[in-house]
Amino acid sequence: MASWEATPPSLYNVVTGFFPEEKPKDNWATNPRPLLVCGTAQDPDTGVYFCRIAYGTSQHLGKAYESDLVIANVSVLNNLELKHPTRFVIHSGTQMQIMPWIEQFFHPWSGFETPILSKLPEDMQKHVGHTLGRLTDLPQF
Amino acid sequence: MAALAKVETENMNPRKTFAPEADCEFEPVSLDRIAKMREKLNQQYGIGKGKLKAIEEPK
Repeated sequence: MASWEATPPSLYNVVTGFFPEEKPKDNWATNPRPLLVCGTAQDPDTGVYFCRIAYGTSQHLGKAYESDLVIANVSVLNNLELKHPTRFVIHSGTQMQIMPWIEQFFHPWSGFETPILSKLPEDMQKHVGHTLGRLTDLPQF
Repeated sequence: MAALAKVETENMNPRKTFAPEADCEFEPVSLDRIAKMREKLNQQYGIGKGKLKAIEEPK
């Protein structure tokens, strides 16, 4: 068990992990991608933490839904440790899943001790919170 | 949107270094694949049955 599993990420943390698959198989991507934490929970029996996750993509940004979180500002990208403009897909709960905060699903990028990369700035937190609050299909813990 | 993103990244602070993994292209994921994984995880960990206790929820 990785030591970081004992400390859950926070709401609106950007973390790195495998989505939608778990630790990569031979025929799937080997690189953990940026993910957005949209809620956290814990199993009281096992102590395992869980995160509601929206995934990030660096492709097809022009096809983003209006309520998706598109980050293209260089300064913000730098602060978030993201090199390329990224869209976090938050317009529908069907695009999200709840994942256990364990190394089978999350993995640090080089130079990071945990899969926690950064945290959204306040204005983006408000946008995401507002968008998630209007969803009727948000995955429930 | 894509053109603006290109201009902004070209002006990126050259002193900022990133993890090598940040340079990858992260493709969109199909709804079908997400649904399959969600179903598998929900079943395996009892997600969505009221067993898990929420710590932080968006307001």
